[in-house]
Amino acid sequence: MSGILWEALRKVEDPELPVSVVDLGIVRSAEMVDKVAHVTACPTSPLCPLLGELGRRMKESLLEIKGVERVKLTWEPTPPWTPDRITPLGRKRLKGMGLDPDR
Amino acid sequence: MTWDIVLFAGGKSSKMLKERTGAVYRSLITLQGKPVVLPAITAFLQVPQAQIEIYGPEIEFRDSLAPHLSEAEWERLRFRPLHKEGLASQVLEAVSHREEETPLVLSAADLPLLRSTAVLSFLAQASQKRGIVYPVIPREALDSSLVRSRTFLRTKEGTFTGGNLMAGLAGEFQKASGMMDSFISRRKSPLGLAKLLGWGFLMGVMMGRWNLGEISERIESNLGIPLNPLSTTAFGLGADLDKLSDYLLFQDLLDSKEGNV
Repeated sequence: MSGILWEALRKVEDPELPVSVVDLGIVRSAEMVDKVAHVTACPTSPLCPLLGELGRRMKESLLEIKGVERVKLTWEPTPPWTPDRITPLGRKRLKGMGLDPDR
Repeated sequence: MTWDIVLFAGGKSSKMLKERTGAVYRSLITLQGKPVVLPAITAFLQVPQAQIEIYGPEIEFRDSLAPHLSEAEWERLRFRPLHKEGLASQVLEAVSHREEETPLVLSAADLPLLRSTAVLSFLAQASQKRGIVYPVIPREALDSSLVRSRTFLRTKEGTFTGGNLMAGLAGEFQKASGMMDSFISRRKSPLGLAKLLGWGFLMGVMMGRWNLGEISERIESNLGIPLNPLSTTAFGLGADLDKLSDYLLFQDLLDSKEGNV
Protein backbone atom coordinates (compact mmCIF):
# COMPACT_ATOMS: atom_id res chain seq x y z
CA MET A 1 0.00 0.00 0.00
CA SER A 2 2.79 2.43 0.77
CA GLY A 3 3.91 2.13 -2.87
CA ILE A 4 0.60 3.66 -3.98
CA LEU A 5 1.10 6.54 -1.54
CA TRP A 6 4.58 7.24 -2.95
CA GLU A 7 3.16 7.09 -6.46
CA ALA A 8 0.49 9.67 -5.55
CA LEU A 9 3.07 11.91 -3.91
CA ARG A 10 5.28 11.67 -6.98
CA LYS A 11 2.50 13.52 -8.87
CA VAL A 12 2.88 16.53 -6.56
CA GLU A 13 5.33 19.15 -7.80
CA ASP A 14 7.17 21.69 -5.71
CA PRO A 15 5.61 25.16 -6.29
CA GLU A 16 9.01 26.69 -7.17
CA LEU A 17 10.64 23.88 -9.15
CA PRO A 18 8.81 21.56 -11.53
CA VAL A 19 10.09 18.44 -9.76
CA SER A 20 8.01 16.14 -7.55
CA VAL A 21 8.23 16.40 -3.77
CA VAL A 22 9.41 12.78 -3.76
CA ASP A 23 12.27 13.41 -6.17
CA LEU A 24 13.33 16.59 -4.39
CA GLY A 25 13.64 14.49 -1.23
CA ILE A 26 10.99 16.44 0.64
CA VAL A 27 9.00 13.31 1.55
CA ARG A 28 10.69 11.20 4.23
CA SER A 29 8.14 8.44 4.76
CA ALA A 30 4.65 7.40 3.73
CA GLU A 31 2.61 4.59 5.18
CA MET A 32 -1.03 3.58 5.53
CA VAL A 33 -2.50 2.75 8.94
CA ASP A 34 -6.25 2.12 9.26
CA LYS A 35 -7.25 4.11 6.18
CA VAL A 36 -5.08 7.03 7.30
CA ALA A 37 -2.09 8.00 5.15
CA HIS A 38 0.75 9.00 7.48
CA VAL A 39 3.36 11.11 5.74
CA THR A 40 6.45 12.75 7.17
CA ALA A 41 8.18 15.43 5.17
CA CYS A 42 11.18 17.68 5.39
CA PRO A 43 11.02 21.44 4.70
CA THR A 44 13.77 22.80 2.44
CA SER A 45 14.21 25.84 4.65
CA PRO A 46 14.09 26.61 8.40
CA LEU A 47 11.20 29.05 7.87
CA CYS A 48 9.60 27.59 4.75
CA PRO A 49 6.65 29.73 3.61
CA LEU A 50 5.22 27.00 1.39
CA LEU A 51 4.45 24.29 3.93
CA GLY A 52 0.73 25.06 3.74
CA GLU A 53 0.69 24.92 -0.05
CA LEU A 54 2.82 21.77 -0.18
CA GLY A 55 0.66 20.14 2.48
CA ARG A 56 -2.52 20.98 0.60
CA ARG A 57 -1.17 19.54 -2.67
CA MET A 58 0.04 16.33 -1.01
CA LYS A 59 -3.21 15.87 0.86
CA GLU A 60 -5.31 16.35 -2.28
CA SER A 61 -3.28 13.81 -4.21
CA LEU A 62 -3.38 11.22 -1.42
CA LEU A 63 -7.14 11.59 -0.91
CA GLU A 64 -7.68 10.58 -4.53
CA ILE A 65 -6.50 7.05 -3.66
CA LYS A 66 -9.32 4.64 -3.05
CA GLY A 67 -9.24 3.60 0.59
CA VAL A 68 -7.50 6.69 1.94
CA GLU A 69 -9.94 8.52 4.20
CA ARG A 70 -7.59 10.85 6.00
CA VAL A 71 -4.07 12.21 5.72
CA LYS A 72 -1.76 12.89 8.63
CA LEU A 73 1.18 14.96 7.45
CA THR A 74 3.99 15.83 9.84
CA TRP A 75 6.83 18.20 8.98
CA GLU A 76 10.13 17.05 10.47
CA PRO A 77 12.83 19.71 10.08
CA THR A 78 15.66 17.54 11.46
CA PRO A 79 17.85 16.30 9.99
CA PRO A 80 17.67 19.29 7.65
CA TRP A 81 17.06 18.98 3.92
CA THR A 82 20.17 18.99 1.73
CA PRO A 83 20.56 18.44 -2.04
CA ASP A 84 21.84 14.94 -1.17
CA ARG A 85 18.19 14.02 -0.65
CA ILE A 86 17.36 14.62 -4.33
CA THR A 87 16.80 11.26 -6.05
CA PRO A 88 18.65 10.21 -9.24
CA LEU A 89 15.42 10.89 -11.17
CA GLY A 90 15.17 14.35 -9.57
CA ARG A 91 18.81 15.06 -10.50
CA LYS A 92 18.12 14.00 -14.06
CA ARG A 93 15.10 16.31 -14.28
CA LEU A 94 16.99 19.24 -12.76
CA LYS A 95 19.93 18.71 -15.11
CA GLY A 96 17.47 18.66 -18.00
CA MET A 97 16.45 22.17 -16.93
CA GLY A 98 20.07 23.28 -16.73
CA LEU A 99 20.09 23.06 -12.92
CA ASP A 100 22.86 20.80 -11.70
CA PRO A 101 22.59 20.39 -7.91
CA ASP A 102 26.15 19.04 -7.79
CA ARG A 103 27.83 22.11 -9.31
CA MET B 1 31.29 26.82 -10.81
CA THR B 2 32.31 27.79 -7.28
CA TRP B 3 30.51 30.81 -5.94
CA ASP B 4 31.74 33.33 -3.40
CA ILE B 5 28.72 34.40 -1.38
CA VAL B 6 28.61 37.68 0.51
CA LEU B 7 25.76 38.37 2.93
CA PHE B 8 25.13 41.86 4.20
CA ALA B 9 23.80 41.49 7.71
CA GLY B 10 24.55 44.81 9.34
CA GLY B 11 21.18 46.54 8.89
CA LYS B 12 19.90 47.82 12.22
CA SER B 13 16.32 47.60 13.43
CA SER B 14 14.19 50.71 13.41
CA LYS B 15 13.17 52.02 16.83
CA MET B 16 9.74 50.37 16.60
CA LEU B 17 11.17 47.09 15.35
CA LYS B 18 13.72 47.04 18.15
CA GLU B 19 11.10 47.81 20.78
CA ARG B 20 8.96 44.96 19.51
CA THR B 21 11.66 42.33 18.92
CA GLY B 22 14.54 43.38 21.18
CA ALA B 23 16.99 42.78 18.31
CA VAL B 24 19.52 45.47 17.41
CA TYR B 25 20.26 43.88 14.00
CA ARG B 26 17.37 43.01 11.68
CA SER B 27 18.98 39.75 10.59
CA LEU B 28 18.96 38.51 14.19
CA ILE B 29 15.26 39.12 14.77
CA THR B 30 13.64 35.78 15.47
CA LEU B 31 10.61 34.26 13.78
CA GLN B 32 9.34 30.95 15.15
CA GLY B 33 12.38 30.94 17.44
CA LYS B 34 14.91 31.20 14.57
CA PRO B 35 16.95 34.23 13.51
CA VAL B 36 15.81 35.54 10.12
CA VAL B 37 19.36 35.20 8.75
CA LEU B 38 19.16 31.42 9.18
CA PRO B 39 17.25 30.64 5.93
CA ALA B 40 19.83 32.56 3.87
CA ILE B 41 22.79 30.89 5.58
CA THR B 42 21.18 27.45 5.35
CA ALA B 43 20.34 27.96 1.69
CA PHE B 44 23.82 29.18 0.70
CA LEU B 45 25.46 26.36 2.67
CA GLN B 46 23.78 24.01 0.17
CA VAL B 47 25.69 25.57 -2.72
CA PRO B 48 28.59 23.16 -3.39
CA GLN B 49 31.97 24.50 -2.20
CA ALA B 50 30.65 28.02 -1.75
CA GLN B 51 32.64 30.41 0.42
CA ILE B 52 30.31 32.43 2.61
CA GLU B 53 31.34 35.83 3.91
CA ILE B 54 29.13 37.83 6.25
CA TYR B 55 29.31 41.52 6.97
CA GLY B 56 27.85 41.45 10.45
CA PRO B 57 28.60 41.33 14.16
CA GLU B 58 30.32 37.96 14.71
CA ILE B 59 29.81 37.69 18.46
CA GLU B 60 26.08 38.37 18.29
CA PHE B 61 25.77 35.98 15.34
CA ARG B 62 27.61 33.23 17.19
CA ASP B 63 25.21 33.53 20.14
CA SER B 64 22.09 33.48 17.94
CA LEU B 65 23.14 30.86 15.42
CA ALA B 66 24.98 28.37 17.63
CA PRO B 67 21.89 26.25 18.34
CA HIS B 68 21.04 26.02 14.64
CA LEU B 69 24.36 25.30 12.89
CA SER B 70 26.85 22.47 13.22
CA GLU B 71 30.53 23.21 13.86
CA ALA B 72 31.32 22.16 10.27
CA GLU B 73 28.74 24.61 8.93
CA TRP B 74 30.02 27.35 11.19
CA GLU B 75 33.54 26.75 9.85
CA ARG B 76 32.36 27.70 6.35
CA LEU B 77 31.33 31.20 7.48
CA ARG B 78 33.80 34.08 7.47
CA PHE B 79 32.94 37.34 9.17
CA ARG B 80 33.97 40.80 8.10
CA PRO B 81 33.57 43.87 10.28
CA LEU B 82 30.81 46.34 9.50
CA HIS B 83 31.89 49.66 8.00
CA LYS B 84 30.77 52.82 9.70
CA GLU B 85 30.27 54.28 6.18
CA GLY B 86 27.47 51.74 5.64
CA LEU B 87 26.28 49.25 3.03
CA ALA B 88 27.76 50.86 -0.10
CA SER B 89 31.25 50.82 1.41
CA GLN B 90 30.90 47.15 2.34
CA VAL B 91 29.70 46.28 -1.16
CA LEU B 92 32.67 48.04 -2.73
CA GLU B 93 35.10 46.23 -0.46
CA ALA B 94 33.45 42.85 -1.10
CA VAL B 95 33.68 43.40 -4.85
CA SER B 96 37.13 44.93 -5.10
CA HIS B 97 39.29 42.32 -3.38
CA ARG B 98 38.26 39.45 -5.67
CA GLU B 99 39.71 38.14 -8.93
CA GLU B 100 37.70 39.33 -11.96
CA GLU B 101 36.67 35.79 -12.93
CA THR B 102 35.31 34.86 -9.48
CA PRO B 103 31.57 34.08 -9.57
CA LEU B 104 30.10 36.28 -6.87
CA VAL B 105 26.74 36.61 -5.10
CA LEU B 106 25.83 39.70 -3.12
CA SER B 107 22.77 39.16 -0.96
CA ALA B 108 20.71 40.69 1.79
CA ALA B 109 20.78 38.52 4.91
CA ASP B 110 17.27 39.18 6.17
CA LEU B 111 15.25 37.01 3.77
CA PRO B 112 13.16 34.86 6.10
CA LEU B 113 11.12 33.16 3.37
CA LEU B 114 14.13 32.05 1.32
CA ARG B 115 14.16 28.35 0.38
CA SER B 116 17.26 26.38 -0.52
CA THR B 117 15.66 25.24 -3.76
CA ALA B 118 15.11 28.88 -4.76
CA VAL B 119 18.79 29.69 -4.29
CA LEU B 120 20.01 26.59 -6.15
CA SER B 121 17.66 27.28 -9.02
CA PHE B 122 18.57 30.99 -9.23
CA LEU B 123 22.33 30.36 -9.20
CA ALA B 124 22.11 27.58 -11.77
CA GLN B 125 20.29 29.91 -14.14
CA ALA B 126 22.48 32.92 -13.30
CA SER B 127 25.62 30.93 -14.15
CA GLN B 128 24.36 30.70 -17.75
CA LYS B 129 23.72 34.42 -18.17
CA ARG B 130 25.96 37.42 -18.74
CA GLY B 131 26.22 40.53 -16.60
CA ILE B 132 24.88 41.00 -13.12
CA VAL B 133 21.83 38.79 -12.77
CA TYR B 134 19.07 39.75 -10.35
CA PRO B 135 15.72 38.10 -9.74
CA VAL B 136 12.41 39.75 -10.53
CA ILE B 137 9.26 38.19 -9.15
CA PRO B 138 5.90 38.57 -10.92
CA ARG B 139 3.25 40.10 -8.70
CA GLU B 140 0.98 37.09 -9.19
CA ALA B 141 3.66 34.75 -7.77
CA LEU B 142 3.67 36.55 -4.42
CA ASP B 143 1.67 35.23 -1.54
CA SER B 144 -1.36 37.55 -1.41
CA SER B 145 -0.44 38.74 2.08
CA LEU B 146 2.91 40.05 0.78
CA VAL B 147 1.53 42.13 -2.08
CA ARG B 148 0.71 45.19 0.04
CA SER B 149 4.19 45.49 1.53
CA ARG B 150 6.20 45.40 -1.70
CA THR B 151 7.24 48.02 -4.23
CA PHE B 152 6.37 47.04 -7.80
CA LEU B 153 7.73 47.87 -11.21
CA ARG B 154 5.23 47.97 -14.08
CA THR B 155 6.61 46.76 -17.38
CA LYS B 156 5.20 45.66 -20.71
CA GLU B 157 5.66 42.01 -19.62
CA GLY B 158 3.82 42.46 -16.34
CA THR B 159 4.29 43.82 -12.83
CA PHE B 160 7.32 42.71 -10.85
CA THR B 161 8.95 43.18 -7.50
CA GLY B 162 12.74 43.01 -7.23
CA GLY B 163 14.81 40.41 -5.48
CA ASN B 164 17.35 41.10 -2.79
CA LEU B 165 20.42 39.46 -4.27
CA MET B 166 22.60 39.71 -7.36
CA ALA B 167 24.97 37.27 -9.03
CA GLY B 168 27.71 37.68 -11.60
CA LEU B 169 31.45 37.62 -12.11
CA ALA B 170 33.36 39.87 -9.70
CA GLY B 171 34.74 41.71 -12.74
CA GLU B 172 31.21 42.74 -13.77
CA PHE B 173 30.60 44.22 -10.33
CA GLN B 174 34.01 45.91 -10.42
CA LYS B 175 33.21 47.58 -13.76
CA ALA B 176 30.02 48.94 -12.19
CA SER B 177 31.61 49.96 -8.91
CA GLY B 178 32.00 53.63 -9.93
CA MET B 179 28.22 54.11 -10.01
CA MET B 180 27.28 51.41 -7.54
CA ASP B 181 27.74 53.72 -4.59
CA SER B 182 25.22 56.22 -6.00
CA PHE B 183 22.82 53.50 -7.08
CA ILE B 184 22.81 51.75 -3.69
CA SER B 185 22.37 54.94 -1.70
CA ARG B 186 19.51 56.14 -3.97
CA ARG B 187 17.83 52.80 -4.64
CA LYS B 188 14.77 53.52 -2.51
CA SER B 189 14.33 57.14 -3.56
CA PRO B 190 12.41 57.90 -6.79
CA LEU B 191 13.91 61.40 -6.82
CA GLY B 192 17.44 60.05 -6.45
CA LEU B 193 16.88 57.43 -9.15
CA ALA B 194 15.40 60.06 -11.47
CA LYS B 195 18.59 62.06 -11.18
CA LEU B 196 20.59 59.02 -12.22
CA LEU B 197 18.33 57.69 -14.96
CA GLY B 198 16.52 60.78 -16.21
CA TRP B 199 13.04 62.06 -15.40
CA GLY B 200 11.51 61.11 -18.72
CA PHE B 201 12.71 57.59 -18.44
CA LEU B 202 11.53 57.27 -14.85
CA MET B 203 8.08 58.60 -15.79
CA GLY B 204 7.97 55.95 -18.53
CA VAL B 205 8.84 53.32 -15.93
CA MET B 206 6.07 54.54 -13.64
CA MET B 207 3.61 54.34 -16.54
CA GLY B 208 4.71 50.81 -17.47
CA ARG B 209 5.93 51.88 -20.94
CA TRP B 210 9.18 49.89 -20.98
CA ASN B 211 9.96 46.21 -20.96
CA LEU B 212 12.51 44.65 -18.62
CA GLY B 213 15.16 44.55 -21.33
CA GLU B 214 14.77 48.27 -22.09
CA ILE B 215 15.00 49.18 -18.42
CA SER B 216 18.15 47.10 -18.05
CA GLU B 217 19.67 48.70 -21.16
CA ARG B 218 19.04 52.19 -19.75
CA ILE B 219 20.64 51.26 -16.42
CA GLU B 220 23.64 49.82 -18.28
CA SER B 221 24.05 52.82 -20.58
CA ASN B 222 23.59 55.47 -17.84
CA LEU B 223 25.24 53.76 -14.93
CA GLY B 224 27.49 51.17 -16.53
CA ILE B 225 25.82 48.44 -14.50
CA PRO B 226 25.11 45.45 -16.80
CA LEU B 227 21.93 44.26 -15.09
CA ASN B 228 20.23 41.15 -16.41
CA PRO B 229 16.78 40.40 -14.93
CA LEU B 230 15.76 36.80 -14.28
CA SER B 231 12.06 36.20 -13.76
CA THR B 232 11.30 33.66 -11.04
CA THR B 233 8.30 32.65 -8.96
CA ALA B 234 10.51 32.05 -5.90
CA PHE B 235 9.11 34.91 -3.86
CA GLY B 236 11.44 34.28 -0.92
CA LEU B 237 14.19 35.91 -2.99
CA GLY B 238 12.37 39.21 -2.75
CA ALA B 239 10.79 39.34 0.70
CA ASP B 240 13.10 41.11 3.12
CA LEU B 241 12.41 42.21 6.66
CA ASP B 242 12.75 45.96 6.71
CA LYS B 243 10.17 47.38 9.07
CA LEU B 244 7.76 46.44 11.85
CA SER B 245 4.89 45.80 9.43
CA ASP B 246 7.08 43.26 7.55
CA TYR B 247 7.85 41.49 10.82
CA LEU B 248 4.18 41.25 11.78
CA LEU B 249 3.27 40.08 8.30
CA PHE B 250 5.93 37.33 8.27
CA GLN B 251 4.86 36.25 11.73
CA ASP B 252 1.26 35.87 10.57
CA LEU B 253 2.26 34.19 7.33
CA LEU B 254 4.48 31.58 8.98
CA ASP B 255 2.12 30.94 11.89
CA SER B 256 -0.84 30.42 9.57
CA LYS B 257 1.06 28.07 7.29
CA GLU B 258 2.63 25.57 9.62
CA GLY B 259 1.22 22.97 7.32
CA ASN B 260 0.60 19.87 9.41
CA VAL B 261 -2.71 18.42 8.20
